[in-house]
Amino acid sequence: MTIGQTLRVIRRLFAVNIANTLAYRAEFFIYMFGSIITPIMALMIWRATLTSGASLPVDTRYLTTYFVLSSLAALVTSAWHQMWLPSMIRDGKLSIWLVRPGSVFFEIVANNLAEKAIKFLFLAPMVGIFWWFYRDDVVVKASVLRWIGFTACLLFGALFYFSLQALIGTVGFWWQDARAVDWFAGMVQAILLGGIVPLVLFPDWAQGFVNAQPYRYRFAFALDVLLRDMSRQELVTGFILQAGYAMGFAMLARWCWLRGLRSYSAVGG
Amino acid sequence: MDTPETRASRRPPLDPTIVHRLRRHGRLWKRFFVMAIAREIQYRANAISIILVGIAFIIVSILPVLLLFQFAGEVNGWNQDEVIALVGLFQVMTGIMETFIRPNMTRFTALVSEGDLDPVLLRPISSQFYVTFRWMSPASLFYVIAGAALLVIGLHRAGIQPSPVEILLATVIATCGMILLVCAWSALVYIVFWTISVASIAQLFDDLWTAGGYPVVFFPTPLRLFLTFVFPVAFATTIPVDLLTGRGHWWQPLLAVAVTVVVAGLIRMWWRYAIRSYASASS
Repeated sequence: MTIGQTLRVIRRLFAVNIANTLAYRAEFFIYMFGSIITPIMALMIWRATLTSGASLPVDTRYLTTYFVLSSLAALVTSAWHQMWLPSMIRDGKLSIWLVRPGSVFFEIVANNLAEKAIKFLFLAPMVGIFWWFYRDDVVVKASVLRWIGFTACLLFGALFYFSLQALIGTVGFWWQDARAVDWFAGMVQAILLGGIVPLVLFPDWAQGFVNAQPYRYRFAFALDVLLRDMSRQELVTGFILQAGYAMGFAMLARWCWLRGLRSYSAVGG
Repeated sequence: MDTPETRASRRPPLDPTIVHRLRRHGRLWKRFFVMAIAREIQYRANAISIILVGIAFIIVSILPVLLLFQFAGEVNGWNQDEVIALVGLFQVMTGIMETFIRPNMTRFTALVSEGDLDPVLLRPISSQFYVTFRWMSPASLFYVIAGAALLVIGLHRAGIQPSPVEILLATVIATCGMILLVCAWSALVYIVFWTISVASIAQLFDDLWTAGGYPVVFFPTPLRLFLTFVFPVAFATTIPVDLLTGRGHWWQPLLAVAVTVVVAGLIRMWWRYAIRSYASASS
């Protein structure tokens, strides 16, 4: 398929997914309400720590801005196809996509973009209220260049996370049930993403590992680019690592997917 | 004219008294549990993965606490060891919910939307009891054991030796807290009688439940009140640990019992009202 044809197919699938998503408006509203609870809660805990006299390497303004923006950054970089890809493989529902001219990943990309668009409509006002509530402490003094860097980092973060979830999903070719892998990955990222504890608050002895591990490059690095005064060397190293993880995981996911297709037996097909 | 006798009219009532009714439901609950264990033994890999996830969950719960207290000796009157004890109790409560409640709550949407509630309503058993306690995941009891160990370690490190009375009162409050949380979750999932799906409710519950891993005094007053009276995690974790550490008050268990009785009654009424809207999708 040409690029033009691919984009046309994805656009059609996007429209279908928008319609499907709108049928569950209340459901998505509740999801988004839940997704903003964690950053609010984390911010309150860290603010309580600060008012108890704790000496943190960052100030209230950094923490507040970080947590206010983190829910939006998490949404932009989110992906969830690892939840249904294994069952699609196991139940043979992948077969129908194998006889079509387009890849199943057209549908996955369209679903990802459509749900994000609707979720953004619900989340943005909630973040706006959160922002307004702490407006005195939400400060973003970044140059245009930093904003461009932030946007680029988010896009690379989205590619990295999409590829990682695809990689987890491909486990379905070999295992009957990939939920345990998904659960375990979920537990690891609960800490290493920086969603509850900003990664800059990890102890000094752990900073080397924390800065190098891939989960940092989903959205925490992008927020650091925007909010922290990072040295040129830190920025360059971060950009290289992020691009490396995004491309590396994308290639690994593709390789595993093609290997998996060879062993696919389409029990339900 | 005399009403003709039927086989049904000659039979004695199934439960002459409320005590008989409770006993019969207790026996049924035991049967459900035995069946759940048999199922767990059949799917051993699943049980092992639940235990591994349980270990990861404990690390995930305790790590933020350790990271937080590297910067402060005390936060709003709580030290690190007391918060570790609280995380332990949080794990115990999570384990009980995962074992006995979540498997039922996550099935509830399908019960209503696919008409599977029909046979439940025909059974000679409380339908609310059935939909709340039928399914169990005994492997998740690992959380309870690990959480209890963490609770004891936290209290020991904090140098706290609660008296038997304090332990009893903390247990009463924690039990009330657990019942209140089940009521809160039930109240939310019963909305499915009017909507298509409430799958996101479980996610929302998880997001709110995370707050139980921290003392409610860490949060501002409005949120503290919310976590005590609207989504009552305080009764399940903070207040019991408060009692164990000698910070509690004598009236707290009384308040917890009174609130629990009222809320349980309201949930019973809410169920009876909601079930009237059930249209049986399969018929």
